[in-house]
Amino acid sequence: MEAITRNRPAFANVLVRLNPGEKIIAEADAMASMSASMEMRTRWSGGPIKAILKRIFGGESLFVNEFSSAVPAELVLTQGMPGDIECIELKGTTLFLQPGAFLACEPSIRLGLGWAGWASFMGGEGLFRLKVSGTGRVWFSAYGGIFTREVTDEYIVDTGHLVGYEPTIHIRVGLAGGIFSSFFGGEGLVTKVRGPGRIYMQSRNFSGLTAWMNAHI
Amino acid sequence: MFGSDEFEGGVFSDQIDGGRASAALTITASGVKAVTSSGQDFFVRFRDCVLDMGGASGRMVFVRTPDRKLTVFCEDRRFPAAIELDGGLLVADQLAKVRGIRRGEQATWRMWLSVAAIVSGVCLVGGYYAALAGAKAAIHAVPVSVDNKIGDLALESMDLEGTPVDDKVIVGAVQEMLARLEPHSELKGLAFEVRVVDAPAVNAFCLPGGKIVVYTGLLRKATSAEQVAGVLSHEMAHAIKRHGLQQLTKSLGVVVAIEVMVGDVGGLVAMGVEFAKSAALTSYSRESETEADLVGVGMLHAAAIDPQALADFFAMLEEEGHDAPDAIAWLSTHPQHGVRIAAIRDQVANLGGQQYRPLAVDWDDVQQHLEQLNDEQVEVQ
Repeated sequence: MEAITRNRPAFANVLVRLNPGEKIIAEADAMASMSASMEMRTRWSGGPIKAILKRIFGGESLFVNEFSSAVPAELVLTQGMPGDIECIELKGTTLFLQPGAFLACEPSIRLGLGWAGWASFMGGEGLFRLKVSGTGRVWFSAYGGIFTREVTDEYIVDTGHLVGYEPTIHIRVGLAGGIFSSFFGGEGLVTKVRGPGRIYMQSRNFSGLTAWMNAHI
Repeated sequence: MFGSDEFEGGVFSDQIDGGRASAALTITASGVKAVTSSGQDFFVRFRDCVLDMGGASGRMVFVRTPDRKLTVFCEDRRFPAAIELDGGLLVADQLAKVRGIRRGEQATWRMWLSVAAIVSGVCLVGGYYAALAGAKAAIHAVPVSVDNKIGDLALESMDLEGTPVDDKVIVGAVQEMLARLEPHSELKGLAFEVRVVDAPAVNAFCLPGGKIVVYTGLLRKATSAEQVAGVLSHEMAHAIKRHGLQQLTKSLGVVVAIEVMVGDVGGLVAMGVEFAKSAALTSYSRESETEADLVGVGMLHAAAIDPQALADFFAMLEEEGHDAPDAIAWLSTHPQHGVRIAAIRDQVANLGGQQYRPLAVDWDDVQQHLEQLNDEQVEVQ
């Protein structure tokens, strides 16, 4: 299977070329275009109960689509927001994704739901997170550009900018500064991450966009 | 699969392509051995290792070399005990320390969650009462014409479950009571109007705006005109204090919230009228009933009608209600009779001196006319 991420970073989309016998799993509604020979099979995202939990707590769709073709075929996957798409290869490892970030994966990847904890909830990142693990490629999307950082000790990320992280990353929520500067400086609560491990961040914050739009409506 | 002495974990090292890899960990007497899936092996000695706890779950154990160039990690719950068993004193102190830090963090979280739960609880309860008080205050800003409009629309479309009575003696008696009471209404602009409906229900109600309906069942049950005046004063007090509108606001508040959630705000006006109709026939809150008693007794007193009659009527209904509780609708929508009778009697005892004047109604004549209504019905049948 060949996959190329195009039009990065603002309007990224993934062009997937499937050979006979190959499959790709994609988030519902991620397909932008595909060859007529492509077969699409919709299934629960990990079984009905898991799918409902993922929908409620993980911000993901109830269903995922499995694409395959009997002859070589093409498929274009994209996301709803303007932003980048990142592909990472898991080698028996795990990655946690924030609600709504998952775009697609190879069939060998397991999609699960993990408890994110109250710290994540207080930081506005949700009580649960999507857990992708196994061996294979995973594509996830973000609002704006995606940048990574190797965290060795502690690092601070504004809430809403964290997209994904490795399971070795510890997360807690704290104030950006003192009480006054935290709330009147506009930063409020921040996510404090502690390594070792890698984190994936988005350069734009969707809450920031909605707040800006609300102020102008 | 990992054996009982083998754990699933990982390694961070510059020697690995990409800097990290999943690995199978084995604990030996001198340290932790890690073998990655590609076959690279690493070893961290207990003698000079640095332990830490964290990760996404908060219970992942990191075992590092002092220069931090090599870190092995494991999330298995059995892992800390296993390294403690083999590492002995070399790791015991560090393990105790990191466990203490984790317990401290958990305790801090529990404390903050408790504080957040208490603050949310206080805000919810406070917000509820503030909203109630706000709704009550907001009603005063609503013009009385709104009450009249809702009352008119509700009455027009209501099934009164009986035939209207136009007997001059009966209607005249009730209007006489209204005429005595109306000047003492503390809310001006209400268009009080009374209708007598021939039905066996021992009931009376007042719609928003002052549209009163009295059933002949109640008139037959009353032993004096003052008792009926007592019931009227109580029902008028509901309109004066705008209890219907208050209850409507409270209930529609919930409806509005639900409708906004499902994205449909149509039909709210119709619902308001429907609600006024059902509210007239069901009970108000206990607080509203108590207030209506208080205001009603005040009006009776000001109109020089003996307020004891209201308590007497209550007492009489209660006594009879034990035998046939379903028959006396008015009583069923006015609970806590014993307490209320006592409260009314207390209030009356504390009222200033007043020369009560009997109502200009011949109650025996009214009863006779009510009997004639019965006879007419039999004839019609």
